Amino acid sequence: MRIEVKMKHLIALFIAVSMSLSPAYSQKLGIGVRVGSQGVGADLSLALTSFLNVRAGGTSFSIALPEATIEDENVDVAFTGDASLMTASLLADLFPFRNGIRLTAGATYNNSSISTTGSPTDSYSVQSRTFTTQQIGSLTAELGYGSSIQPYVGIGFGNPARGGRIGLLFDAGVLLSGPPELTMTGTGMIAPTATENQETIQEALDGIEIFPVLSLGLSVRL
Amino acid sequence: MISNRSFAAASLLVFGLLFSSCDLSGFDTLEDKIAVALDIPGVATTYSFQLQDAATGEDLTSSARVVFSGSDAASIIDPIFFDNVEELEVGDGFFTVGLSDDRVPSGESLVQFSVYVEAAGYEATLQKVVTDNTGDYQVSVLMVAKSAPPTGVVSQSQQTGTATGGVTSQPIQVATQPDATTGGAASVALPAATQLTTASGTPLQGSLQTQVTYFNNQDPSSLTAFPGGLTNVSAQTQGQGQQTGGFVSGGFVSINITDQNGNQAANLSNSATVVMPVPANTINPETGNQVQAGDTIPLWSLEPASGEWVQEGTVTFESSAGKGRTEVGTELFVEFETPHFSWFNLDWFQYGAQNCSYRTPFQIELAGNDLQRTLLLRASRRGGGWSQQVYVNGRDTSHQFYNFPQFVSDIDVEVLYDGAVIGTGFASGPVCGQVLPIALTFPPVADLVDVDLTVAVECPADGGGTTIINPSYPFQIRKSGGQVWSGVSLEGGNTLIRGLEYNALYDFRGSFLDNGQPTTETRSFPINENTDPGGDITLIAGSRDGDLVTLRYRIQDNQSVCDNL
Repeated sequence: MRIEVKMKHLIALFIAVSMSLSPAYSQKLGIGVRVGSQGVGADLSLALTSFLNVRAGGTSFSIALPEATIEDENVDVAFTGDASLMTASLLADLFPFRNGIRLTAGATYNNSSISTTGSPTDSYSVQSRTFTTQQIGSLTAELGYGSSIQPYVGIGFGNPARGGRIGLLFDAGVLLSGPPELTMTGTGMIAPTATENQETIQEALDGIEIFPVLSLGLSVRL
Repeated sequence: MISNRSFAAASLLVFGLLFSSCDLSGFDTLEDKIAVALDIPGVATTYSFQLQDAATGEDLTSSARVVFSGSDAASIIDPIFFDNVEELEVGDGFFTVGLSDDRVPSGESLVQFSVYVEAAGYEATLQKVVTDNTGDYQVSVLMVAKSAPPTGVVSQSQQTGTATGGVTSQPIQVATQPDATTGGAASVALPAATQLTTASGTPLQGSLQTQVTYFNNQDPSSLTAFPGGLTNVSAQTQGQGQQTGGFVSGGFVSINITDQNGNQAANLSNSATVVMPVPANTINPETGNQVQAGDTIPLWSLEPASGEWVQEGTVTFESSAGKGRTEVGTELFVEFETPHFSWFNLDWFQYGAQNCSYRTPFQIELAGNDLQRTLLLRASRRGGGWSQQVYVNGRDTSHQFYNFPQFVSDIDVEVLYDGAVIGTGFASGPVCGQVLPIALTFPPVADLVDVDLTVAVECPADGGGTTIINPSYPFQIRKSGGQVWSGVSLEGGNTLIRGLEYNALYDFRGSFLDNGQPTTETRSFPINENTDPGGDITLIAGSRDGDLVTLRYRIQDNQSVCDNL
């Protein structure tokens, strides 16, 4: 399993944003680092009032997916690929009880995707005729979102910009992402498998209207 | 500020969204729905043969035996299962074979093989097939019915005594009816007490049936039905060894004597006398003038095993009037003695550099076949002796004749569609290297549409799931009641068929080798976007947009194709 986190970019971004803010606000700033269903990320919170923060941040994560095989009577196809999660969010945190419990809403730029390539595991013979794996070809499936700006609603705990110097962060919510969109293409003899199945798989994917968000993290008040 | 109740409501909203917006039931059966779909590449070259009655043009309805021979016969295969095919029993006059992928035809490396066909009630015939490119070819083999031959062919069959231990009990004398062109008859005469044996040496026994069939060299219907054809002829010459070339014919005769057990006489202890009439207006290609008494012509007989013509010698044209031979008409004839029975051909022969090669062919350019209809092209030499007939695929805008003698000249060309002449042309003088343009005029038809046809074969897998096969295979189509089938090829399960009449009924047929023997599947249905043949064929989608009808079908396999995957 391969994990790639582009943390240095995020940290550089937040430091730059922090330094650009005026001193008046610098004592109401906090940063958070998180790990969760959107990957690993960081954000910068600014307390506008005692019960309202604005938060900007991002996550990034990629992972090599384990190999999966579609077993067919005639041709077995092994899929490998990567899942890439990347988001950037602008959120409002509402603290109704003036403690760490909060309601969160906002917009997220979601550039997450899954990319897989399937190849036959063996040659394919019809009577005296044998087709090589190269002749059979390959399939490519890309999963992404048609709209990359997506609303977010959630609840959570923790206020990076107020309270203790170090804090715990927890978030649970949903990105109203709409169904992920599947694009399948193919080469060689197996190419029709893409068009044959894309609609069927998309119908199943159409039942997924949201992207669940769960994260845990730590915050530091600046 | 908001209340605890509001916060609880917001929390419920979040978790409600989380769970209610995820309907994962679609994944429960997804695994069963996913199917691997394959484009199975067809063989690059196929041959769809039609065994047709030479007089009527109809496909044979009687069983026929087909044997492949020649230099590329070993490359003939079943186009689905790729097994080699050497011999077939054809029930309905139609079958399709393929060419092995490792044999690629080209101008430099022509693919050549012969098809020997025999069917009850018909003269056996031999068709030479020559191709210089990959593709799906439609080949017509014209069969001469003994009881109803085409114009220019006469046939006579009669009881001619008995044989005991192969020895004939009486003289045999059989003559055809007079040929309409020459007024003369072909005949065979054999003295009594002649021993008749088969090619393997078996003596004939019991009652004997003698058949004489004569093909004149004037009528295109006779010349195009000549067994073995006139081009790409493999010939064993006297003096020049084996050569491949072309014939200009003086006539053809086949002689068969069979006993009550079906044994066929091949060898004779006494020579038989064979007489053939020759039309006086035959142009001798060596002189450029009408043949005259005293002119000579090579005599050939067929070696059935190899499909090769063997030169028996040279015979001389004689005047019937001068010899008082009224039975051969008022024109010319030849007479020869032979110690065996075969097919006998009178032909002038040219080969090698004397032939029109594929580099200098006689080329017919066809203009106006915008709807890519399969056409029948017939080229005939004025003065007789040479005629060729070939189906031209609708995608081809030209056809090239080659490997025929250079002294073939003055050619009339007819182009036929569905039995009607839609274009003619004439090339005067030597035709090698000539290009003859012919403009085609089709009868007008209202509401023509193109059909974008997609066919997929659904193969259930033993372990569940499905494999979808998008076949590449040739089939044929014709308007119901029409005469000519047109070749159409599925490539990856798809084809575009041009110019069909909207709502008219069409016949579709394909031939498959089932356990090595041809089986023809024929369906008829009207051309429109709602056509659902039913049964094992399901209409998945159909639409019409202007002149384009799109049809997508799914076939539940019933040809045992899937079982063999």
